[in-house]
Amino acid sequence: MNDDFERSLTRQPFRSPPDNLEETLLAAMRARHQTSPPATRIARLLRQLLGWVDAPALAWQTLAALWLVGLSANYLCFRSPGPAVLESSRLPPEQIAAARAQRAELYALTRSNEPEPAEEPRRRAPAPTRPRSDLQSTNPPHLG
Amino acid sequence: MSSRDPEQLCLRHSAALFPFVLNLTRNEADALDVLQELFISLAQHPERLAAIRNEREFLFRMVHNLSIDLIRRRESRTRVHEAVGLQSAQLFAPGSHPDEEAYRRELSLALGELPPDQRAVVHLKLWEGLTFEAISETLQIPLNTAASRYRYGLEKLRDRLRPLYEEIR
Repeated sequence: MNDDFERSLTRQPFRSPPDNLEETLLAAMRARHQTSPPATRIARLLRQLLGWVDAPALAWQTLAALWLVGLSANYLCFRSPGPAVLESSRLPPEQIAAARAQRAELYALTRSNEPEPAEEPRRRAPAPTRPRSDLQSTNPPHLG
Repeated sequence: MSSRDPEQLCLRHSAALFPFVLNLTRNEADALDVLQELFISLAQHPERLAAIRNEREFLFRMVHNLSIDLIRRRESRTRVHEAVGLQSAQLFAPGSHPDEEAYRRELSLALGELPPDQRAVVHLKLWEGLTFEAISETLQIPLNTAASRYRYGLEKLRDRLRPLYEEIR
């Protein structure tokens, strides 16, 4: 139970807060909310990335189908040069014949300037292997 | 906008929180800093408000803790906590009569001489009308501790203000 002294204290009113107290506090809250620290910004970016990963299944299926189409096209185009490429790279017969003639001429010229290489000594032909029956016939008599 | 929106809480409770923080810190700039710290923290972590039962008690507990932290930091810097307690900002409204004015001035000084723990209990009991049970939950102290702090604090105020009180009664 409150006595008179306590009641007299309770009756004393506090001064009113500054006029702009609420505005100051709200402005501080909003300012801090807009300039959040880097850790919070990183967390928000991670949440956004996770939100993208959490896309609907249809989006993932479409992405997989596109990836398969791209892979197939890449395989078909670059597996081997096509016939048209081979056809375009083939030289006319006259040019091939001219190139061969030039090469033969060059070969002849280089051969004429070089000394005739010494003939290599002929290798002795390996002796034919004799059948085991011949070996047995040449054995000494005491072994026969 | 939910009722637990930090901005709504600020609009509803900042006027009641301000004198309590001012009574603890005894400095208007510090009181504003504490309130800003509280509401910025709530704006950054609104999830804290989801589980609370009594938002008023929750806010008083938060500002009490923030104020005690600030007082300790300030004391470690200045080491003159008696002087800081006495350099009281104007806590009460100006009185209409000189005796009333003198009584409020002395009451403000007497409150400043109380230890912050007693001051917090006295303030919540007398000017917020909380029960000892609510005070013990708000300040997270045992019920008997809340009652004894109030009793000691009130006796100091009574001793200090008795002459003036006898005049104005």
